[in-house]
Amino acid sequence: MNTLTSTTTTQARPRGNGGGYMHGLDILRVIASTAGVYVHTANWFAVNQREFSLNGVVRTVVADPLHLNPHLSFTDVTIFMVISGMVVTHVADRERPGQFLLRRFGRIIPLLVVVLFITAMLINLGVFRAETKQTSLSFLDVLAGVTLTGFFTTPTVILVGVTWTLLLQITFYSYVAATMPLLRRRPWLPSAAAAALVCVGLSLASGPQPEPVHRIGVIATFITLIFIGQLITLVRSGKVSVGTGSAIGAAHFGLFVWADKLGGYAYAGGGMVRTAFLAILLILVVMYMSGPITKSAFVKAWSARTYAIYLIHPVVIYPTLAALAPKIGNIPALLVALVFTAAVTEVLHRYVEMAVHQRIRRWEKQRSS
Amino acid sequence: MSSPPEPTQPIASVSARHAGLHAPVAVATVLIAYSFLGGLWLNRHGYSPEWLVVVREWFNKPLGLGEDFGFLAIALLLMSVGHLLTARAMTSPWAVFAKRLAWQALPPAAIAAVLGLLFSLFADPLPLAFDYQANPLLFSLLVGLAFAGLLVLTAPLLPRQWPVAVVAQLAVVTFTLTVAGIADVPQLGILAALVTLPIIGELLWLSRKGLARFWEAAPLALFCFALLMVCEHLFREARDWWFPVAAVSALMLMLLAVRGDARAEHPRPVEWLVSRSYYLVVLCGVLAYPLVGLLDLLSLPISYVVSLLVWGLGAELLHRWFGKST
Repeated sequence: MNTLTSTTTTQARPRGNGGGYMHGLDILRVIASTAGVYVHTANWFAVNQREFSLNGVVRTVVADPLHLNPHLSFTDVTIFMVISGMVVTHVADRERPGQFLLRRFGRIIPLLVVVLFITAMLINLGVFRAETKQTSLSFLDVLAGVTLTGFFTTPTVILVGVTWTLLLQITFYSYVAATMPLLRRRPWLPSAAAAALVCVGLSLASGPQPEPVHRIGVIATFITLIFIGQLITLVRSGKVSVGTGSAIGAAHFGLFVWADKLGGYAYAGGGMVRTAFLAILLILVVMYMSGPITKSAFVKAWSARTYAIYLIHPVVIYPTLAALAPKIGNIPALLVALVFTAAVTEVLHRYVEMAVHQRIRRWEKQRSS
Repeated sequence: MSSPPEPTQPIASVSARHAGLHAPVAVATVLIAYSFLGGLWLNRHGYSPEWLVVVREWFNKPLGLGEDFGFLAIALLLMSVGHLLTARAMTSPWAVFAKRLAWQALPPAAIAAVLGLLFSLFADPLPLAFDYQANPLLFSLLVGLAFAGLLVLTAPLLPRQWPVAVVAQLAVVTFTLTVAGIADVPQLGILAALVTLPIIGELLWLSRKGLARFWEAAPLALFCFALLMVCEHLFREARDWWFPVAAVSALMLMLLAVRGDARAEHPRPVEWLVSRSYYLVVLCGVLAYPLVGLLDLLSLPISYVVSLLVWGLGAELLHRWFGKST
């Protein structure tokens, strides 16, 4: 997810009040990516009715006492979305709209396309099953899946489940680019206007609706979290007062609660609002941390790879577990799957994500000189 | 009665060591009023106004902060108590700390108890019962007093051997919780478990002052949360309150507040609420709560206005008599 997109370049990280980089965001990305991998792994074991001892521990120690979603679902998405809003708003302050879109899409689209093509190949080879259960794909299915238009078709064609959050990112980037002049002159206005738009979106999309309209409701629901991130950055930088930022942020959170009450937009469990609330509090607390672990090279490197981890981990972990768990046992299979995920992540990060990113930067330099 | 000698620290340092507590204490005191005079009194007397239902449906239920934010307020106050008393214990001679604490905490509690007994003759105060469900305020005051007792006993250890002091406090809490579990005394078990909240506040202060490192304080704080969870597992009576949700929320809010609020000066209403918070909490169930019921015969809005004024006046008098509560 894009949050990560801007993280590998240190310049893209919001600065703390004291002028230093917010290393806390790196550790939050590590937490979110770990949660994401855990959520999907736990779901795989649950769906396949296999015992996974960590599930019991997490349920007893965290999920049940805090009444969160089963397997802590949605924790990762909340953290990634809020950080995304924070980081993207920070970089939007010093980029032109075209440059902003080129850089943001340059970070998310190439890796997304590569991962989805690999996934389509694995589906047609019978190694992986699409999120929407297809076991073989036509050319048009692949096209719909790779371009994410499959989210709006009937039947839907979704190759990797986690890519639904990319719809939110793309919508948010486009909105930020469109409202960039406003964001600089009246910083509170874009997020306030977005709250009104979300309200309209949820009103139109409530109840049984065709897939494209329903999908607009999903985007309207979860984009509120990204705008909360935007407001955090605006308040921190002093561009929006605490009172105004809190009021607009509360409006966005209220819209999220409303969407949760309408139902149908979230599939992770009955603790969506609580999970989002606690995750936002966690972000506000952890983002200022700057201890030795938070600043370590390992955390920084992991943080830079979280987009690749986020996209690729289900594609690697699910088939690996399916192939190995019955033969060598759950935990050894999971360890192999995690090592495999790390290796594939590294390759994708170096040779796709960063390669394209550096090429865009070189092109920008040549153009400006 | 004469008050014990004042601590030697100048007022400025007192203010500075409380930096960060203003927001949580002020918010918690307002939430106490909302929860007990608003939500609880109205419900126990047959009222169910639309706004209360809306707040519950849109905030309390989705966030898991039940009792109309009552336990969130209690958790914030208990953590603040831990933070504040630890600061005092570390910066005052032991005898001064113990005397001042006893002077400020016990007589107002005794006055409140007398008021409660008096009101119970002709009105409807919160019952003087050792039962969280019947009177969460009294219960929480007992939790605060239990922690204060533990702190007084372990205060000499704090400056040089803080881990020993905190572990000793946790050992007492764990032992009491275990005994309550074996003997099946749920209220004692809940009380013991809630004492972990001021201990978390204590750890927060030790951590802020650089005495406790993160890796030292964090496991102890996690152990505190573990005891809250154990309490839920042991006692059916503890399960309906969702203590861990509010406790975790309170800790996050405290961490945010102590980091962000380092100003020495605050708006006067905030200063007023913070300096009188203990007396307001003490008097809420025995003065304001029964007064709302007594004056309800006139009209509910008038009853609320008068009760709030009398409640504030009572806290002001106690404050002037016994000194700052924070």
